[in-house]
Amino acid sequence: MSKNKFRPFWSYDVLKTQDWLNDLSFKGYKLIKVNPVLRIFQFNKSESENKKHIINYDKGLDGYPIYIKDGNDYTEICYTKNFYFLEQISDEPNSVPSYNDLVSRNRKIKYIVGQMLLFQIMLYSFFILIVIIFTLGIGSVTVESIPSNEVEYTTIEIMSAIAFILVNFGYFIIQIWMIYSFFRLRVSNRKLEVFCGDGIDMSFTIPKDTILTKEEIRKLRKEKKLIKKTKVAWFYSPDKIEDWLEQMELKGFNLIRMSKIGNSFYFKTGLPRNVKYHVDFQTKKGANYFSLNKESGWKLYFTSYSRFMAISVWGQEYTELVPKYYSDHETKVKHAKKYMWTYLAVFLPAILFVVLSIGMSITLFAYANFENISTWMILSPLIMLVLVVELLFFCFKVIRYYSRVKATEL
Amino acid sequence: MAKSIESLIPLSETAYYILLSLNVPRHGYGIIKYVEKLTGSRIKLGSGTVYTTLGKMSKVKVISVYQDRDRKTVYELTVEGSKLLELEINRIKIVYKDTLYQEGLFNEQK
Repeated sequence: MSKNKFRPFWSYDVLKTQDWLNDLSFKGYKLIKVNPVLRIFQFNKSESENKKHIINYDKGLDGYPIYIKDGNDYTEICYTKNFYFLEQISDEPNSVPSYNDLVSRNRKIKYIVGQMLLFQIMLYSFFILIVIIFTLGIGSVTVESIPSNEVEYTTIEIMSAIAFILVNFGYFIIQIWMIYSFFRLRVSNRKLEVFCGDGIDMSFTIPKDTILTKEEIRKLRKEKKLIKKTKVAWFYSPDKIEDWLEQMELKGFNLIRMSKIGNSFYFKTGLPRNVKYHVDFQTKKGANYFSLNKESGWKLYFTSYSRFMAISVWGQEYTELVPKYYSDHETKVKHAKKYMWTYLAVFLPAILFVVLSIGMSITLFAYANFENISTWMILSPLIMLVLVVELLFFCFKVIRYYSRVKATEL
Repeated sequence: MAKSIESLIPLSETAYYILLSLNVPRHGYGIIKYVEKLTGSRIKLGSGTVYTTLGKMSKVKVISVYQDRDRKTVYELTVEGSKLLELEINRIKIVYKDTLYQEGLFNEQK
C-alpha cells in the first residue's frame, strides 16, 4: 500500500525534511520515490523502523556520490536531479556528505529573492515618499470617490476589475512566498553551515587573539608602539597594498590586524620581518578554504563578510624561500581577471546610468527658461560628472592591476 | 557534465599532479604535502592554486567532495576522473617515448 505526501518547500530546510522522513519511517512509512516537480514523496507502508535519512545536493550529479560506494555506511533510496536520498546504516560513518554545494545553492536563491524584496521595498518607500512630499507640499491629499449607485459599470469594466484584483492577489502571494523563502533559507543555511564546519571553524576567520580593547589601543598608541594607517579605496590595486605591507614589515612595522571594513591597518612596532602578503578574492568561501590556507602556513588578517566583496588578506612569514599563494601563473592570472571583472560588472553599469542621467539633465536645460534655473539644476550634473570620473578612475586602477599581474612572471 | 573529459586534455602540470596524488582520498593540505614528496620538492603547490583547481575539478565532476569523521573536507577521484587520469597518463607515456627516441637522434648527431 503506497501513500503520497505533499511537501512543497522540502528543499528549503533539508535537515528538517530529514527529521520528517525519520519520523515517518518510525511511523511505518518507507520512502520509495520523490517527485521533484510535484514535490510529492511516495511511501510504502511497512514496519516501524528507526531510520536515519540523509538528503544532499550535488550540482550536476546524476546518481549517487562516490563516498557511499562501500555500502557499509549508507544505502541508496532514490535520487532526483541534483538531489539524492540516502539511508545511513552505520552509527559512525567513515565519510559524511559535504553540504557545501547545498549551502551555496541556498545562498544563491536567497540572494536573488533578497534582491527582489529590496527592490520592492525601495518601490514602496518611493511611493510613500511621494505621498509625504505631496502632503507637505500641497497640504493635503484627497481621494474622491463617487457613490456607486450613481454609476453603471459595463461588463468590460467589471471583468477588468476582477482581473486587476486577481493579479494583485497573485502578486501578494508571490511577495509572501518571497519573504517566507528568504527567512526560511536563512535559518536553514545557518544550521547547514554548522554542519559544514563553517560555523565551527569560522571563529579563526576573525583574528580574535589580535583584537585589542580600545583602552589597550589608546595606551599603545600613546607609547608609540602601535600605529594606525588608513588607506582609501585600496581594493582596486591589491598588489600595491601587498607591496606596501611587505615594505612596512621590513621597516619593523608588524601588521596585527585590520579594521572591520578593511580600510585601516594596525601595526605594532617590532623587529623587521620578511612577510609575504596576498589579497585574495573568493566568493565561495567554505570552511576548507580557511583550513587549507591555515595549514599551508598562511595567517589570516582580514576577511570580509559580504559575499560581493569577498576579500581576504593572508600573510606568511618566511626566511629564505618566498611562499607562493598561487604556484602557477595561469591560476594567478585567472584570479586577477575575476577580481577585475567583479568590480567592472558593478562600475560599468553605474557609469552608464550616471552618464544617462547627465544627458537627461542637459536636455532639461534646453527646455528650461533662463529665469527659473535653480542652482540644483547646474549643480547636479557637475556632481554626477565627478562621480563618473571617480568611477572611471577605479575601473582604470583595477584594469591596470590585472595587466600588471598578467605581465609579471610568477 | 558540461564538458567531455577529452576536452580537458592536456592537463596543466598542477592539475595533473593533483589528480596523480589522489590514488587515495586526501585532504587539501595532504595533496600539497604528497606532491612535494613525490616530486622531491620540485613542485610546491600554493594553497590558492590547489583550492581553485579543486573547485574547478569538482565542478566538472572529475573529483568528488565529502567530509571525513573529523568533518574535514576530503577529495576523491570519480570514475570520470580516473578515466581522465588514465587518458593523460597514456598521452604522457607517448610523449616520453617520443622524447627518448628524438633525444637519441640528437645525441647521435653530436
